[in-house]
Amino acid sequence: MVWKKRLPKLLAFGIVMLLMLQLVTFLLVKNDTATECHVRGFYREPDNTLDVAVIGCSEMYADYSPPLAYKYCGFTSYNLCTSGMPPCFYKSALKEFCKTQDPQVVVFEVNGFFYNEEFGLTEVNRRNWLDNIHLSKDWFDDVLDTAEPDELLDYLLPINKYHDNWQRPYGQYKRLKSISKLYTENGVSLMKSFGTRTTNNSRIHTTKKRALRLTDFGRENLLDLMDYCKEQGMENVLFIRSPHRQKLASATSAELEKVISEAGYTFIDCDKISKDIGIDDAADYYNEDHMNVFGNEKFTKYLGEYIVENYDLKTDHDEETKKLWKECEDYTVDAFKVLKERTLTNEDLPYYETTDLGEETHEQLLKAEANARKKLAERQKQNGKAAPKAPDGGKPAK
Amino acid sequence: MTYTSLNYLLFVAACLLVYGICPKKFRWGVLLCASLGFYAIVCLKYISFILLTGFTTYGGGIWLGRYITKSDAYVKSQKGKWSKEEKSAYKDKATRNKKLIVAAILLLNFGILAFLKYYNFFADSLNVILKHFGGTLPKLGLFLPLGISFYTFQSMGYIIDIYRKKVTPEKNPLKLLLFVSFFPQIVQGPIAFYNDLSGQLYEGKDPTFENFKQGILLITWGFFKKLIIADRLVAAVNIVAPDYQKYSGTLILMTALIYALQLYADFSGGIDISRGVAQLFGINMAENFKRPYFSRDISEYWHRWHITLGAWLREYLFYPIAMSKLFQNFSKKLKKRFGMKAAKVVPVSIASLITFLVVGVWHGANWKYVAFGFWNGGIIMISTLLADNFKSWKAKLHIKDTNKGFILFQMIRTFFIVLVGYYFDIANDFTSAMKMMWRSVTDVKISEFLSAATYKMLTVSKREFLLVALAGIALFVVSVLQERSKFTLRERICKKGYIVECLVFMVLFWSVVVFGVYGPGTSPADFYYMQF
Repeated sequence: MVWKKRLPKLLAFGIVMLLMLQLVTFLLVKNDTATECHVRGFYREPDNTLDVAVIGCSEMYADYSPPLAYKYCGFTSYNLCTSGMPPCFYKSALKEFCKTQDPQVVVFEVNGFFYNEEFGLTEVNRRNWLDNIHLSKDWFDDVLDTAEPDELLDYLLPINKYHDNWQRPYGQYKRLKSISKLYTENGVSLMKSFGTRTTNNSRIHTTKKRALRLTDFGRENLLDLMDYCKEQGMENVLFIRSPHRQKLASATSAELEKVISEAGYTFIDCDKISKDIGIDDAADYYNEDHMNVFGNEKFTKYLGEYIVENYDLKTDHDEETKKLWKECEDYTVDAFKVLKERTLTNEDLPYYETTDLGEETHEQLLKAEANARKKLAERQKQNGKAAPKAPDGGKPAK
Repeated sequence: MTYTSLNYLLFVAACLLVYGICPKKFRWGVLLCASLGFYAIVCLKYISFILLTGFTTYGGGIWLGRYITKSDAYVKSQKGKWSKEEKSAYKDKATRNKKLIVAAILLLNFGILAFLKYYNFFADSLNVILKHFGGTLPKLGLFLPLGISFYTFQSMGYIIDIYRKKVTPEKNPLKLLLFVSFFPQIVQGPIAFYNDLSGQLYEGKDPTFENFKQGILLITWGFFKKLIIADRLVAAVNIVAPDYQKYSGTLILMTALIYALQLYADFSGGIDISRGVAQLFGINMAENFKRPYFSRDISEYWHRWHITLGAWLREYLFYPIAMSKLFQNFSKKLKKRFGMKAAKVVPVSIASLITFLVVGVWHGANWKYVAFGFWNGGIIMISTLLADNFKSWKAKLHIKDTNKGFILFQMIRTFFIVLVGYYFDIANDFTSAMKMMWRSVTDVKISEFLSAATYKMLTVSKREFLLVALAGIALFVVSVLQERSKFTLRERICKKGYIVECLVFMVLFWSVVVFGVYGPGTSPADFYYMQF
């Protein structure tokens, strides 16, 4: 009898404790805000609205812009990528993509296959992915496969690792502000997964001293990935090496071509054809590995056209989806204009859609964002939904 | 597996589950398995030491108990047959034999402790003399098994209690081993008397919801003190004291002040965890701290700080010394020459000094700890000797003991006396302690207390200091509330009902989760008293 009385109270207590755990974890867990926004942004996409999946490392959010691809070629896509994605997570990313979407074409950027275990499986690289994807059996398998035994607890209870972030309140505030834009204001990510630096010669270098060759670790995972694609009946799979200032050695390129073509898939080494694409090595990169907005625009156009020409894409979407993507396109076009101007000044600041870094001083960008929001609000009003709030009461921040 | 690790909490939860499921009469067995299991996990290499103490204490207790029974029975059987002298002679002989048995057991167990703890110290000290004669004692790579001081004191208390006929010897060796090794207290106490603890251990009480709630609250409060206050300050203490020459007097003084808070939070936090875990099993362990920094004199401080060690030393060291024939004769002589007051005060003062010297030496094998004992014992001795003078001074100055200002003055004065003792604790050696004290008096600049550079040197960020300050305020408020009530704060909270209980628990729990020092990149700081 006593326990019958206590049970509801204990249950209520348990539920509150779980909710508190969720809240505290959400408030404190943080590795890299941009990556977090890129991955969270993917989950905001309405189900079965993406035509193309783009998977890879940081190159794919610097070099490729889904809204621009939509503008040029009419297909929808999302670049589900994290910086330094280890090769063993390519399959995980594809699985994650296919849980809510049914992509007709899958594009893999091959940089991750050059990582050996030591470089690829650093804690940062692993956490960029594992901390941000949804919990599932796949997530658990990935954790078991890649985490050290003494790290397991940190994955199962991330607060164990991240609780000390209370000491960085400003960083956490910026992160929450960025994420809240995805959830409360934009609804979806307007630029999808996108990140750049406004320069053509950044002081931030990302290339570590490592040989760009297909490592044993990379090869094993590449073969496994291709086997998985075949098992899933995926025919439209494209492997690319996006243009880099640091070109791929021809032997490596040939080896990749051989391995991939043996599995029946296509590989394009864009390093070889970067000039044909129109990439200017001096002006279109922000560092050795990543293109700036100028390079991004050119490469996106190239890749988009390649996909449309080589695969039989069906891009029929409902009106809602089309409108949403039009908003994204408009916003991105406006943002690119501003980012190009900023890149020409060589200010070398990071930017991603929900960034809070220095944006207060960039009224132009805010105006562009306000404009996009206005259109979005109008559309939602037409659909009978409440209009989203503009930041700072709709006035550009100073 | 430290007391603050998740593994330990899971271990406790598993033990509690098995304990709850098990029939009452086997529950002590569950506790024994848990205790030996815990010891094996933490310190398997040295488990033989605790087993040795457990079994020698058991054997010694049985031997002593049998001798007492036999001699008492023999005395009874000779009733009316013996003359007074014959009876007295037999009793003297029996007492001598009992003392020999007790001495043998004490010598063996304290001998192990003393050898492991003090051999190198004595070897170093003796070598200063021996090297003039061309010989030296070798230094040995000795270690201290986990909790050796605590379980040795506890076991030897049991033997002395048998000798004093306060306790009947335990017939089951495994039950006695449980008393010696009970896992929540093995690391740093509290040291229990056999009569207080054994019954609770062997009874197999049902775990109750009330005990569970109060136990969990106490454990969480212990975590709060240990992980938020103590472990966040431990780096600050460790940075200045070993290299005090590099730092100003202000920083040295700040270090001593920080140490006062850190040590209290560490030790009392650990004891709260121990007592809380015991309470989950329905076992009430003795309190070890009663707001020591509210003490009005040093004697009161030692009745509030590490209470169980104080009680042990009073029971088994101070009283035997003060009541010994030697001291009684000394007292008589003093009475003849200097009067009644001297006869009362002087032997007690000397017994106090000896007791505190033992406390000092117990802390470690170093002259600085001898000085620590002298300092505390000396102050108590002087206070006892001058007690009447203080009374008359107070009367002349019209100071009442109930005056709040005077009480505050006494508390602050006592705190600073305690603080001087802490210098011996944190310094590398006696000379360093004296130099640190000197610098703390002669090289203090108030402005440095507020300077950001000072905090930077202590390697604790401003935010961490702010956090510790807030936690310190919470600790102070809780202490004041506890001081004002005869009930524990937990009892009062649990009486307020479900919502208040949950709220208090959640605030404590989530404070620990968010602000505690734990997780990867941090190495859990050992409990300070674990080393003793």
